Parts: sequence; C-alpha cells; structure tokens
Amino acid sequence: MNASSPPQPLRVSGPSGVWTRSVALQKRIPLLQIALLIIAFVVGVTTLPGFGGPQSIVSVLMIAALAGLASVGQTLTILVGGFDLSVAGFIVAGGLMVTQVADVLAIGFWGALVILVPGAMILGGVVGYLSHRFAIQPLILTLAMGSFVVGIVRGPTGQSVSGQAPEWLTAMAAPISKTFGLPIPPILVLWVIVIVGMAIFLRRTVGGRRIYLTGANPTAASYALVNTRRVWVLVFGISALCSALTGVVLVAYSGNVDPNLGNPYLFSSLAAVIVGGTVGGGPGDYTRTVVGALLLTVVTTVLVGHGLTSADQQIMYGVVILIAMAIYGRERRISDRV
Amino acid sequence: MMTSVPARILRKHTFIFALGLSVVLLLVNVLIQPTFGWASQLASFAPLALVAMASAPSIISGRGGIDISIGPVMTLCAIVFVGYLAPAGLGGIEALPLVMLLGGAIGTLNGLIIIWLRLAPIVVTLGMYFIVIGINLKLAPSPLRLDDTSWATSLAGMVGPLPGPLVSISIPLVIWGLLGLTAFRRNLYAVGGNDATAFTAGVNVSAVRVLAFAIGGVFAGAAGVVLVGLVRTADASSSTAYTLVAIAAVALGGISLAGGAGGIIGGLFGALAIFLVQSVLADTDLPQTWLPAVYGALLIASVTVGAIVSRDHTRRKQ
Repeated sequence: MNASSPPQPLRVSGPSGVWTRSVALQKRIPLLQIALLIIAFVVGVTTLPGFGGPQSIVSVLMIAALAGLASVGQTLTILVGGFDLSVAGFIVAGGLMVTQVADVLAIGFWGALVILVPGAMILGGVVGYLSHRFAIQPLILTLAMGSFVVGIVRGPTGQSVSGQAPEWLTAMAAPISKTFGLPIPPILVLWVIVIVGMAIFLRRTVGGRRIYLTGANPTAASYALVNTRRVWVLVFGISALCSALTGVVLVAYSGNVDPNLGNPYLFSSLAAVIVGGTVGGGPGDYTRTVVGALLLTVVTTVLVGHGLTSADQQIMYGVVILIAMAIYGRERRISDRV
Repeated sequence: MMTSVPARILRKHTFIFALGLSVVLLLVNVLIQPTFGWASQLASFAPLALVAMASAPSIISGRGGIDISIGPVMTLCAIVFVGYLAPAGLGGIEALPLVMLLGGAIGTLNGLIIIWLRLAPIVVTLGMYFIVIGINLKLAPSPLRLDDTSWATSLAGMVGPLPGPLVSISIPLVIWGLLGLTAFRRNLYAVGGNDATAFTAGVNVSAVRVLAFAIGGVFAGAAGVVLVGLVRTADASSSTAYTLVAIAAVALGGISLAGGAGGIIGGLFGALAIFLVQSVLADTDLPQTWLPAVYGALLIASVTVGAIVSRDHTRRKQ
C-alpha cells in the first residue's frame, strides 16, 4: 500500500501517457467514481421521469447525507487502520436516548444529549484503548461494543421500543424544511458543514496529520512522537460520537425509532468508505467517502426506480465492494515480503 | 522467560480458558434449572458449534483471515437443501456431501479472490457476505419448510443409538482429525504463524490459504443442514444471525486472530461457553432487553483476557 497520503505535487515521471497520468490522478482524486456518479445521474434523468426535478434531487441528497453522516466515524477508523462495526449499535443508542430514554427518565431532549455525548465518546474510547493496548482486532471489540451499548440503553426501559422524536426536530429534518428561509433542509446544511470541517481537519491540522501518520506506519509515527494510542482512543471515541449523533438525525428524519434503525447504515457506511477509495491505513479522506455515498445512493435510487429488489441491492453492494477494493486495496505479493 | 506452570499450559492450550468457563457455566445451569434438558440443549447448541468451528481454519491461516460470509453461506446451504435438493429427489443423506461441497466451493472462491487480487480477507468475505445474502433472498423470498419425515431432523434427535447433535458436531472434528494426518494442518499453522517464513521454507502459502477458506465453507455447509434439522425451516432472513456469535466463539476459544494458534476445538468450547451464557441468561429474571449488554460486556471481557493471556505468544511472532 502506498503510504504517502498527504498531497504531493502531481509529477508523473517516466512514460507520460494518458493512462499513466490518469492513474496518477485517480490516486489523488476519485475521478472514476465521479465519472460513474455523473453517468448514473444522467441515466437516471433520461430513463426515470421526474428524477432530475428539484424535489427528487433534494431527497436523493438527503438519503446520501444520512449515509454520509453515518460514515464520518467509519472513515476515521479505517484511516488509522481499524474498522468500526459498532456504527449500527451507536445509531440505535443515540436514537433511543433522545426519544424513549429521555421520556422514561424525564430528562428531555437536551438532558439526554448531555448524557449521550460523553457516554458515546467514553465507550468508543474504551474500544480504541483496548484494541491498541492489547493488539485486539477492533472488528470484534466494536461488534461487542455495538451490542453492549444497545443493551445498556434498552435495558433500563425494559419494554418494547417506542419513541417519538420531538416535533421541532422532525420539522428540521423534513425534505421540505428550510434553513433561515433558504429552501435547503438543515440536514444538508449540516452535511456541508461536516464535509468542510472534515476536509480542513484532516488536511490542515496537526490532529489530522497524526491520524494519517498513525495509519500509514504506527511504528514510524511513534518515533515521530505521535502518541498513537491517544490517536486510537480519540478516533474511536469520535467515531462512536458521530454514530450516536447520526442516530439523533435519523430519528429526526424518520420520526420514530426502532431497534433496526442502524442496521442498513453499518453496511452503507463501510461501502461508502470503500467505494470512495479510502484504504485501511490511508490514503483517503472524508471527501472520497462523500463521493462514495453519493455514488451508491444515486445508483441505488436509479436501480430501485427500474424495479431492483433488495436482494439485487445486496448482491450489487457485494460486487461493488469487491471491484472497488480490487482497484485500491492490493497488498504486497508474498514473494516481495520475504 | 520463567512463567508459572498453569500460565504455560494456558498458553499452549488456549481453549482451556473457554473449557473452564463452560464447566462453571454448566454447573450454574444445572443448579438454577433443575429440569436442564440435556438432549434439547445439545440439539440447539449443535449449529452454533459447527459455525464456530467453520470460522476457525481461515482465522488460523493468519493475516486477519476472518470469514464473515460463514453465516450467510450456512443459510444458503440450508435453503439449497430444503428448497432445491429435496424436491429434486436428492433429499436423502447424499444431500449432506452435496451442500458441504457447495459451501466448500464458496469458501474456495473467497480464498481465490483473496490470493489473486491480494485483498484483505475481511473485505473479500464482506463482499461475499452481501452477495450470498442477496442470493439467499432471491432463492427463498419466504421461509422454506423442511419435510418432517426428512432424515435431517434426526440430527436434532437420535441417530441410531447416538444423540444426533453429537454426530453432527463430530463431522468437523473427524475431518479436522483426518487433516492432522496430512502435511496440510502443519503447513496451515506455519502459514498462520508467519507466512513469509513458511514461503521461504517452500510451503505453497496460497494453496494452504485457499484450502483453509474451503474447509471453513465445507463446515458451514454441514452447519446449514444441522440448523435446518433443528428449526425445520430455511429462512433467508436468518443469514446474519450467526455472524457475530461465530467470531465471538472463536475469539473466546483462544484462537488468536493473529493466526497460527488454537484449533477448532477452541471454537467448539468458545461456542459452548457462549451458548451456556445465553442459557443462564434466558433462565434468570433479567429482562430480554438487557441481554445484548451482558453479551457485549462478556465478549469484550473475554477477548481482552484472551489477548492478555496470549500476549507473549503474539509478541514472539513479531
């Protein structure tokens, strides 16, 4: 895997054919995915009536935004060389906290949020600490933590899941809602802020650099005085927090909460990151994940418009992951590692 | 390094932790449930045991060889058995090797993609996980019912004088034991321990790795038949049910996820410990909603303890 993730001046040495140049460019910008996105969109506009209308575009963007927000933490954990399979668990926990638990404990929406934010960060941080300290696959710990967090949020309520989002919250997430009078739903505004924030954080701050260093080569990073354990703790803590907050947004979007709220987002977050071209341990960034989320959403919407079943969708997800990884995620040959 | 004798035994036979846990839990179970139904408990334990043992070979082969697709493959084999082989007149005992071959074929495909495209196993099996779930939904949009007179139901009852579950659990154990007579199993541990070293020693690393995934698939095929013999339906929506628990069982059973350590017996005892925990929890007054929390906490604790116990082992490898 190529460890030089930070931006470098684009200089193609040797044979400077169109192919070599586009391969080099593809390493920096997800050109292929953008091209596929445009093709999928054009196919949708030409074959599905009303697909190009503003209302349709806004709802596609909102679905992509939900997948994109669920993938923030996944992007970060994959960049440091991990995986976060607790996404679904923390989404459900976040959704339940601000609805059912807030009602049962009579602490209101903001009271629940005050518990949720540090709680999610601590539990995520524990996963990061344990897997770094004892070299445990984060895969298993995040799976277990996802189960744990659903249990501790559902446990005290001790009843079937039912919860309604506050009305002001659902109003904010409706596709016809406005932000300060502009005809753009607040979720989209939130997503744009997150995209810009993540781009600045990963590329222009010390913290972002530490994440890339840790992912590219943990040993080299610790020689460069990066506290890699702290990076892991923070990244997994932030990832859990992002998932929990996505749960809050999802509850706002769907109006109520159910225990399977998070399931689709675990896999769409993984798929978005992988299709976007972010590789375990870097290179990659959140902008790529955004392209991946948009691509998957548009393709799925177009195919569903043409009568694609959920079975086809699952198969397509699998094939897309394999193809995308075949382009990016190649490991070294064993004869090169001797 | 000087270590105490118990610590050394624990390190050499990593399944002992899970075995001890199982014994304690079994005692608890028998104490709190005076009517502990051995036969029925054993029958519901068998599918879990087989899935856990199916996950083991690929993990032993190292380089993060977790096979996430085991659960869906198991369901696929159950669906093919009930919905396609039985109606075609192949519903007899000959169906078992057929679905085991099917599982083995998917495992082989996983392995081949992993070595040809040089991808991380978790990514390939994740892709396969989605594909197989999609195929399951296509083949069985609604649950398929097994004929009550089918021989497979005896796997949850009695096979001749023997309890059926013991027979089904012994399928992978016997195959694994026979593999112990060949060079493959030694090569598997060599590859899992350090594939570059095994390569320089002349081991065909790629072939060993593909075979490890194939054997996992074969076990998953057997697990599908055992499951359908127990629950009598093949349901596509149960594709994901065993994914988490199989990995948990393997980790609990002391099979190092770094590869090269542990055996399928560890998967068996890990599965047993998890099954008995579920059994204890089901019998207490604890509301169902707490179960995921207990389950998650137990998993985190056991994986962490397992990692601490086997730490010297992994450190020596690096």
